[in-house]
Amino acid sequence: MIKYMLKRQVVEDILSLTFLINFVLILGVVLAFSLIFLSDYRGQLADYAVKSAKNERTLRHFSEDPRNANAYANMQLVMKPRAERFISLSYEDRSPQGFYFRMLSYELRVLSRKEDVSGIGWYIPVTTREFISPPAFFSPDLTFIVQFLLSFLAVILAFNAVTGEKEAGTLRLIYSNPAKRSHLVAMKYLSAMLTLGLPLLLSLIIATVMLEVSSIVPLASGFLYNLMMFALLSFLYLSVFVLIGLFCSTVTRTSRHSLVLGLLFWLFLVVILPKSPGLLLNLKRFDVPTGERIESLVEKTSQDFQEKYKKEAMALRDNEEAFMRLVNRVGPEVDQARQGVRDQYLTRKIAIVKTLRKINMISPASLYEYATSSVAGTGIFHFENFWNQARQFGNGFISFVKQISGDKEPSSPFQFDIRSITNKPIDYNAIPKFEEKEIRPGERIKEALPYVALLALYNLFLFTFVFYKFGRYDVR
Amino acid sequence: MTNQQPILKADDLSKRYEDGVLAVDHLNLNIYPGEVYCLLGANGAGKTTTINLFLNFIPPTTGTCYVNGIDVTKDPLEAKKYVSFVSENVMLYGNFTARQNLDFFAKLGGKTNLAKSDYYQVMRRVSLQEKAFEQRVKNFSKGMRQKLGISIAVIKDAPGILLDEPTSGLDPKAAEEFLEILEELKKEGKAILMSTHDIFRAKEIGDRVGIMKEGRLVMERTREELQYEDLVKIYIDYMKSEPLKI
Repeated sequence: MIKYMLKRQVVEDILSLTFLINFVLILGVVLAFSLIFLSDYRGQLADYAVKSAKNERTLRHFSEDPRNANAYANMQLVMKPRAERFISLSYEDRSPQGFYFRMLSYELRVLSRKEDVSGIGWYIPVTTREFISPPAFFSPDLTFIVQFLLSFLAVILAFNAVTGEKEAGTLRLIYSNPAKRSHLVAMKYLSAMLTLGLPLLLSLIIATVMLEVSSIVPLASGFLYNLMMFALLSFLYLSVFVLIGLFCSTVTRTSRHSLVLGLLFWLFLVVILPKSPGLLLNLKRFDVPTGERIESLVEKTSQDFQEKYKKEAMALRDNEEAFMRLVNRVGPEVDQARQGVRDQYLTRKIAIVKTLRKINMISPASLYEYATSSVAGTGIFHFENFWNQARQFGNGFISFVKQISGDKEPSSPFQFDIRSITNKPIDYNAIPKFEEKEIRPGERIKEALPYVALLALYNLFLFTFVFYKFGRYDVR
Repeated sequence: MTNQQPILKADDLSKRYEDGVLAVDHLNLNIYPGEVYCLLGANGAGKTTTINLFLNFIPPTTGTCYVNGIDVTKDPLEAKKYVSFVSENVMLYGNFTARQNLDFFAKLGGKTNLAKSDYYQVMRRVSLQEKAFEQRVKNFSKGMRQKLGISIAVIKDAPGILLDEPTSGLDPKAAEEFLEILEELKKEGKAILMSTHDIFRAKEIGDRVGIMKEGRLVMERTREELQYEDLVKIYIDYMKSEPLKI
C-alpha cells in the first residue's frame, strides 16, 4: 500500500511549482558556485606552483652551499590546493594558509593568503583576528547548498504533509480505507527524501562534470569517494528537516501555522543558532591578539631576554670567546621562547574555534558542516593536521641538518649552533621536502563520527516524536 | 431482513468529547444489507460523530461499532475493508485526473488489479462525463467531485457505505442523480448509512429514517410508517421539543 501512496506523492511533489522553482534555483547556484570555485582554484594552483618552485630553488641553493648565509632563506609551507574545498570550505578561508619556516633555526610563523589582481598570491603575517572571526553567512561550496537551500526545500516539502491532506479532505478518505497511520508518515517522509534526492544528486553530477570538463581539477577516486560520503551525510542532514516539517504538520491545525512554525525552526536552526556563538567572540574570555600583535609580543620576548642578560653580556664584552658561548647558550632559549609565544596563541585560537563549535553543536546545520568538513578533510581539522605536519617537517629538517653536520643525537631544534653546519654540498634528493599529505579516510571518518552520531540522534528523536504524534492525530 | 446479520451495527454507542460535550448518547443501530438508513438531525446532533465512530476516526467512550461483525475499535484495519465512505465535500488530489484519483483510492481499498477500462466503467456508471475521466480534478464542480467520490465507494465494492451529507450543496439534478446511484447500490445489497439534512430525499431513499437530537436517536420510522406520517412535521416537532427520555 505504501508503494501506491509513495508513487502518487512523489509525482505530486515533483510536479509542484514550489519544487520546480527551488530546483531551478539550486541548479543555478551549483553552476555559479562551480564557476567561482574553478576560478579560485586556478589561482590557488598557480600560486602553489610559484611557492613550490621558490621552495625548490631555496633548497637547491642550500644543497650546493649549506653555509652560505644567502641560502638560509625562509621556506613557505603552504597548503596544497584541494578540490575537496568545493565540498566544504568550512574554516579553510579563515584559517591561516601556511607557515613561514626558518630553515636553520626552528621558527614557524603563521601566514595568511592575499591575492593580487592577477590571482597570484603572496603571504604575509596575519594582521587580524580573522582566524576566529564569526563564520561567514555564505560560502560557495556544496555544503552551503545543502545546508541552506535544500534544508529549506525539505521544510517546504514536508510542512503540509498532514495538515495539507486534512485541509484537502483526503485524510479522512485515506483513513476510511485499511491504511496504517504509520504508512502515511513513512510515505510522506520517503517521498520528501526521494524528491530532495533529485536536486542533490543532480547538483553533485553537475559539480563533478564541471570540475572534470574544466580539466583543472584532477578527479581522483578519492574525490569521488568524498563526494559519496558527502551525499550520505546530506541525506542524514536533510532527513532532520523533513522530520521537522512533519513534526510541524502533526502539531498544528492548519498548513499556514505549520509553515510558519517550520520556517521559524529553519531560521533558528540554520541561520540564527550557527551564527550566534560568533557573537561570543566579543567577550573578554575569547579575546586574542591579532597576528601583528602576536609578533610584537614575540619581539618583546626577545627584548626581555636582552634585558635579562644585559649585565652578563656587558661583563663579557672584552672576552669574545665567553661572549659567544653566552650567545650560543641564550640564542636557542630566545628562539624557543619566541616560538612558544606563537604556538601558545595559535593553540588558543584553535581551542576557541573548538569551543565555539561545541556550542554550535545544538544546531543540526553546524553538525552537518562539521561532519562534511571532517569527511572532506577541510576546515579546522585540516589546519590542525597541516600544522602538525609543518611542525614535524620543521623538526625533521633541522634534525637532518644536524645529522649531516655531525651531530648524531639531535635533541631540540632550538639547541643548534649554526657554525657547526657542514660546509660540504648536500645531496639535494636527500634533503627533506615538504609536501602536505592528505588526511587518511579512516581518520577523517573518525573525526566526523561524533557529529554523525548527533545528527542520527536528532533523526531518531524526531522520528519517534512524529510517529507518536501522528498515531494520536485527529484525522477528522 | 432481520434474519440477516447487520453490516453496520452500533451497540450502546456513546461519545463524550474532551470538552465534556456528549455527542452520541447510547446509540443502538443495525443496518442490514440492501438497506438505506437516513440519519436526520440539526447541526451538532451527532450524525457525523456517529460516522466518525464507524470509521474509527475517534474512539467511542462506551459501546461498540461493528462493520460486518468486526469490532471497529479492536480491528480497525480489517473493519475498514468492508466499508466505504463519501464525505460532504469530496476533495481529492487536484493535480491528478479523475482516473488517477480513482486508481489511487481503489488501490488503497485493496483493488490492485484493475484496468483503465474498469475505472472508466465505474465513472460511466455514476454518470460522470466521459471527457472528465482524464481531466484534472481541480477543475471539477462539486457535483462532479461527489460523483467521483461515490465512484470511489463503488469501486471498493464494500458491503457497507457511509455517506456524510453527500447531497449537501448539490443542485437538484445532481442530487437526484446521486440518489439514483444509491438506489442501485442498495439493490446490489449494500448497507448504507447516510447522514443528511434533506428530509424530502431521506423519505424518498431511506428504508428507515432516524432523527438524532443532542446525541440521542429520538425517533425512528420505516418507509412504510412514513407513508402515513408527515416526516417534516415529525422532524420539526422533535427539533422544538425538549430532549426525550427514551
